[in-house]
Amino acid sequence: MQEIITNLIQGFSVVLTPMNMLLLIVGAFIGMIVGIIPGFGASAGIAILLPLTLTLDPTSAIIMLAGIYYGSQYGGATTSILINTPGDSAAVASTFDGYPMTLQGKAGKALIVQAIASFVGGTIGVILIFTLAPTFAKVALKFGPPEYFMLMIMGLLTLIWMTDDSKLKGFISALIGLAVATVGVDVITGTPRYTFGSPELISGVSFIPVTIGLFGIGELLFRVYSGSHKDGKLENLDLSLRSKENWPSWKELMKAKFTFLRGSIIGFVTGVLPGAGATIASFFSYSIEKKVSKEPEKFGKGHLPGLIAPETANNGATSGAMVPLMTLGIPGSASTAILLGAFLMYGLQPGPLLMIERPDFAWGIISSMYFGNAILLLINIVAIPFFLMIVKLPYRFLIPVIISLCLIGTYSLNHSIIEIWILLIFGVIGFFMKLYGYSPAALVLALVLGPLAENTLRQSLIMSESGLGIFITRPVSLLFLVLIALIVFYPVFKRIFMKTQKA
Amino acid sequence: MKNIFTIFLLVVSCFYLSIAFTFKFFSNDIPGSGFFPIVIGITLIILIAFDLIKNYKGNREEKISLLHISIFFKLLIVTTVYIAIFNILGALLSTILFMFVVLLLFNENKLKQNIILGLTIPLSIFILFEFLLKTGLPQGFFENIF
Repeated sequence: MQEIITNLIQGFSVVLTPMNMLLLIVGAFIGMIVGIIPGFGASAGIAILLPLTLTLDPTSAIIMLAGIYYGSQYGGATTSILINTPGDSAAVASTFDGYPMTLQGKAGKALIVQAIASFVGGTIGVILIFTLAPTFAKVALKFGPPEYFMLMIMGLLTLIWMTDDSKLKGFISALIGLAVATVGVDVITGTPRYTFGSPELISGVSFIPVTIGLFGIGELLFRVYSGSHKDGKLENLDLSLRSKENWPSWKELMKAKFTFLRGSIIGFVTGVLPGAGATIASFFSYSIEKKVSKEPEKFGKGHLPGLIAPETANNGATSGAMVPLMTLGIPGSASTAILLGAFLMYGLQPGPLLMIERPDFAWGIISSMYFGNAILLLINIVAIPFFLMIVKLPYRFLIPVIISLCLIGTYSLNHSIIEIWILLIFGVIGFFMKLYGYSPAALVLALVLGPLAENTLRQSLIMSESGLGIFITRPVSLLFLVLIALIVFYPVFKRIFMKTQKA
Repeated sequence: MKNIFTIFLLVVSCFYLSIAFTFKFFSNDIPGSGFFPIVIGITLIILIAFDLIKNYKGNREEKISLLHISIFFKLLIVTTVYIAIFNILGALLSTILFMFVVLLLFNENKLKQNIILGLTIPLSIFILFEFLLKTGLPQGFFENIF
């Protein structure tokens, strides 16, 4: 306990200087703006803005870059809520209930709740780092390919909980996602699959154009097809923050208190695992929240917990991802990989020794995350009236702007024209999926998890002397296997039990 | 139309599976590069076929709405052309043309407004990406001139 307090005081003393606070505010604000641009996630933002920090001292530079990192999580959800176009894949789950809230004229409430949820997720994440970072780091070290494979299977099974409307169509959507994920070079054997001789497809199909196509362009095409671009429903609504309707009530927030807590912890724990990331965390959290809710039928229709769960999770995950980076020197995601590059550029070697030799730096960065989250909450609430102006604009003006931003944002990632074509193709697919009741979310989740599942299965079998027995002989993997069996068989047993009770 | 979409998915799945068979299913007792594609392909075909049969049995054919179909297709065509000319004319010019044409389609009879918006919005987007974020957008044939 004393050690935690000492670290806290040390960290706060590093952050609370005028220069570091200014850089924190600038970094967080830039991150938020970058997160809003479709396709332009944290990793691109950090990479492009890295040169700006070269003249700063290492601690200040990393504080600014870390601000961009978690600021982007706030921004990514804004477009998810307002125009159903996620800024990155971690913001996809926020479209499920965030966008329906906008269509119901509750965009202001959705944005405020999103900001609060992000703040809570980030803050709980920082508290967990202070108290449990070394413990989590040790657990993360125990995760090898068998454990990751089990985690991916659990992630894919959460699709069962997400696809209530038509499980068959949900599974078809997920299989399409898994199929798309097989495009590219097979990392184990080096065999090119479904590349058709194209060098651009060798690295596979990026999930950014797929995600933006399915959700952003797909939704836009659907609105044009159904004529809702003409109805002007939202243009006439009172979206002013002076109206009490546009603020969540204290009762609503307290009713969702366990959602805040669950989402933050799920997000943090998932984020600690290298490679798992905010996308998986947000989907996990949404699915689990829907499963434990007493009102699961309300999810997907503008239900507050449906927005709170993924938002707390993706911000919890950004905190969690800092644990393997700081304590082990292992980046958990593309964004933290670039942060690692920045650390090395400044002559800092992340890992156990960093926490011992440079505690001022390590705890300073972690403390800055708390202040950064608080500042982002304020910035978001102040900026909401500007965001709401987007909703009030006639949709006919938004159509070309959304398409241009999606296209140019996607192009900016890898300067690939093929990715823009993929964006359009998946836009059309997304339109049909929405029209005929398929699940774009299941497709995206499978696209993210598929490669990890395939590679970890094959790596596990390569490592194993006992074939599939490796999943039973390793304790953590066995624990996951038991959980998976419970997830799959519990509903079946429950149904049989209830039938025998009735009989 | 729904069944046409489902049949389209079935045809693509069959094509996917046919290519999957060209990869090795197992290699040295571990799943090869064809393992996942073959399992995915077979499962997809079975589930899509099942869905198709369900649709036919349940007579779930839904008519598509033709009310806004014309503008829907026009938007698709304009977007396709936009992508096709993106590298050729450059990001700025192609976006200006795209914006103007789409505004003509959706914001009818407001030529002055469309010209102003068609110039200012693409320019703002271009400045954001090219100068502030320094992403390096294609200049098109301007690259050779300047």
